[in-house]
Amino acid sequence: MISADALRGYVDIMILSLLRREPSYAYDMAKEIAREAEGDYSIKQTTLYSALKRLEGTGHVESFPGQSQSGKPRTYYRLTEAGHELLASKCEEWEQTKTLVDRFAKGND
Amino acid sequence: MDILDNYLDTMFSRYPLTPKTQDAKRELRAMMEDAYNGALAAGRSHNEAIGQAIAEFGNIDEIAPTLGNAHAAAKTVPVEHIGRVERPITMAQAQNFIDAMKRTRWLLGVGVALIVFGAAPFLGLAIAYGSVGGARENLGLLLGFALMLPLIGVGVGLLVYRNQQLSAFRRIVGGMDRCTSEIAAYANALQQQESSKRTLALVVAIMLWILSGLPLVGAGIYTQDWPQIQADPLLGWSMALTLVLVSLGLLVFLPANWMHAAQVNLTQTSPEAIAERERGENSDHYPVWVRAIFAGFWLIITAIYLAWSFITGNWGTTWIIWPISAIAFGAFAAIAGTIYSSREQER
Repeated sequence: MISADALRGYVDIMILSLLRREPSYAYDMAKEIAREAEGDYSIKQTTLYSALKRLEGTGHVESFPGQSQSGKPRTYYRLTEAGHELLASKCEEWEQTKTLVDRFAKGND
Repeated sequence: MDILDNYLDTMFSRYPLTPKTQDAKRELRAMMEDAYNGALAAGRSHNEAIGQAIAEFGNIDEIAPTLGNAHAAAKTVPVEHIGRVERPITMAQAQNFIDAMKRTRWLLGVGVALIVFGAAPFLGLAIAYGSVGGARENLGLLLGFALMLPLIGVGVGLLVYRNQQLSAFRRIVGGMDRCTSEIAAYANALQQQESSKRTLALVVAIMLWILSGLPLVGAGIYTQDWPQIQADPLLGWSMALTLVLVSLGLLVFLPANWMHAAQVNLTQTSPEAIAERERGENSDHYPVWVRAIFAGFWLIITAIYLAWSFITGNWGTTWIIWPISAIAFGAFAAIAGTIYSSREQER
């Protein structure tokens, strides 16, 4: 189980990439993240909520009313144009970070 | 589902009532409800589902930035206590402490059980060969001792190791940091989740402890008319069996008690716990004659004991006054406490 501290800053990539596939609501996204992570990480509700609100505030994500799978009213989120661009640049940044850190980490096996 | 509303109310109690906080509360309520239903769908019980929803909640302070200038007005009231400000337990510390208590629960159970179990070979062999005399008796004692020491040693070692694992939380365990109402709500909710498992373990352990009286008493009655040298081995084995059953009970109960113990430790500095402790220690609600008995009882018993012993010289029998008066005092205190505390609540 990777600690929340280690993943701070990468939660955005997870959320943006999920929303690129399709719009979704909070609990569904949390379930998807847990499923994709295959047990290595599960996101807390407060973490997810604050990230979504932050991305909404910066215009990368927008919310609209919808229904959960059981028919209850839930707030849905979808990517904006800016959101698509942010996801692309974040992924590139991650590749660069990965390459840099690997230079130090790989030598220590 | 009230419990989820209560939990959220407690969590949000520090934040003022604004549209943004109401929005956040509603969203998080929806998330917790979905998590609860998801756990139910996965086959969890109601209590477990509640616990899972709460466990997935996270740290309320994380959403503070999204509340805009609302969080700047969050009411954080430092408690002035005898002139010093007590530090509150943070949610992260509480979660780590609860994790640590869960991780080390088998260290506690096996450690204590081994210590009790370790006495079994020594006591059993000492009784079995107690009246044989000579080399056989000494060999029996030596063997019992040799078996006892490693068992007790390992048990103590496990307890020391567990203590080291929990050393980071000495401020929580020692009641030095203050328990906030959020921490109390969190700990109580998690404890509810574990309570059915704990109760089951307690019932099994109590049955084992009741059964533990059977071997020794049964063997004692059975071998009443036997010659000493024939009865002793049987009594030795039953002593060992008694201790085995006691340690099994401890092994069953102690690990299952981890969340309850964590909750007691976390909430010992909560306002409710402090009030209850002060009420228990404050004996003003007892009438005068009860308080007089509490004050003078042991002095009077000591005087009676010394007088009786010096007059009759029968020190070998007069000691019995101590266990009898301890039981009498305990019963008196329990009955007085029940009668007079219920009277006080009626007032």
